[in-house]
Amino acid sequence: MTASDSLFLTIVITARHDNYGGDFRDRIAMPLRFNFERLSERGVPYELILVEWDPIPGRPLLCEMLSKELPDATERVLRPVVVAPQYQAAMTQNPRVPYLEYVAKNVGIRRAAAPFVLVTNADILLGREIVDAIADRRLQTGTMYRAPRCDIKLGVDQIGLQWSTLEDRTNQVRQPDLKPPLFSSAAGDFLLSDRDTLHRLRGFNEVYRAARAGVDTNFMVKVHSAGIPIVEIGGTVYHVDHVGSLRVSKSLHRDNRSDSPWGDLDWHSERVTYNNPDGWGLRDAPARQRPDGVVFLDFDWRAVPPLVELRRIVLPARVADRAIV
Amino acid sequence: MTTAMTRLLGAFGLAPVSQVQQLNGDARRTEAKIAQLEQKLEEVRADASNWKRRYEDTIEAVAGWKQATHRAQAECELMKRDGDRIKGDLERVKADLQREQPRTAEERRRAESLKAELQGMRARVENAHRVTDSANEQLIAMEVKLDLIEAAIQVLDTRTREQAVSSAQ
Repeated sequence: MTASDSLFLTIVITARHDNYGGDFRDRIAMPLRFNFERLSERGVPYELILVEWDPIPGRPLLCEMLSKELPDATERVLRPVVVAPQYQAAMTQNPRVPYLEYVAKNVGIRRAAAPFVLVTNADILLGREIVDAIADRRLQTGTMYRAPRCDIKLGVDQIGLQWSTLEDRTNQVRQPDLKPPLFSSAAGDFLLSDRDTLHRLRGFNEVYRAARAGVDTNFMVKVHSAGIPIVEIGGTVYHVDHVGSLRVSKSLHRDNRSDSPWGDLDWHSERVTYNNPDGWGLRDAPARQRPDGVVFLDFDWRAVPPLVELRRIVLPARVADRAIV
Repeated sequence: MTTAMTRLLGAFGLAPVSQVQQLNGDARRTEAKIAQLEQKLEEVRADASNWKRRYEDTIEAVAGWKQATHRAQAECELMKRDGDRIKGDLERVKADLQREQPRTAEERRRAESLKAELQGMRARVENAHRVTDSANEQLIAMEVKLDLIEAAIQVLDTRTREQAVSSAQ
């Protein structure tokens, strides 16, 4: 039996060492430690795929910093995948969007080894009920699990953060709100399904790469259109607000919604869907592994999807209970 | 003998004791009878008075009934007249109905035809809605595709310019 045979869960996140959203320790190391401790306490065998997309030249890799900050977690669960910076330049459709977050996540989904895959963000803390559901293996295949996101107020002291602190409503600034049929609010923060379903869907939209905002909602349209049941897992994830997050910064781009770092905030993400090409998730990118286990995806034009492939933008199939706003 | 004695006493205005006693008894009985008769007479008188009162009551009631009968007769007359009038009205309405029946049938035919037309129009409107929705969806897809084309042109333009600048240098 190989190590991947005993895995139950792959967690996919993407980040890079760019100080996005503030201090790396508070924003990334703390949540990773928190989730590692909670899942380890419950004996969940999992791997954490960290996709470092477009790493900034001259700066240490995030996975290298994490190995110093969280040696135990790094050694036991971390599987870093570093994507050559040329892919961002080759794939971008909008230079104002500096980080193709969802293509990066597809890289992780494509390479997940466990039967279930949780796609989330580096600064997300898993709630108590979610860890219970995963640890008790109460997950069905062919189902897309969602969890609402509860925002914790900006600047809260994160040292020794516990579930009791997160669950205290006085620390929360935004209550969870998931509405059927798409359950799409903050979908990028928690999407859990079996690997086969995610592979059948071919991950997030790689055809429309001009925006980062709304790509998670667009994925939910695809899930719903494919007739895959969307179910609330029965718990909350927590997110500590930070400067630069989409929610906090949206008001800054109120008057110019098409020109934000997330692309056009109003593109028709709820009205169209997509068919990713076979090579989604940089399938054909040549991989090499360093002795410390870090996987590098080197640049190759053959792995890059066409700049434009209009036939891959399609209309969602009508589903009876669907009510698109 | 006794009779002779009695006649002799009678000649002197006398009568034998036994006869006197008998006569006294007869007189008492007669008095009692008279009293009885007087009482009966009183009763008859009371009865008569009672009957008279009842008679008067009856007469009064009969008069009332007579009046009521007159009123009823008058009302009957009125009702009869009303009935006749209503009958006349009914006849007229019946005649009107008979006259209007063809027109009603025509109106019914028209209503049914309008209903069918309305259903057809509704189906056409629903179809138009579907077509509009579909066209709208296609337009949105086109808009997304145009965004992509524009984005790609901009990217290519930037790359071309960068290449041109670097080869010029």
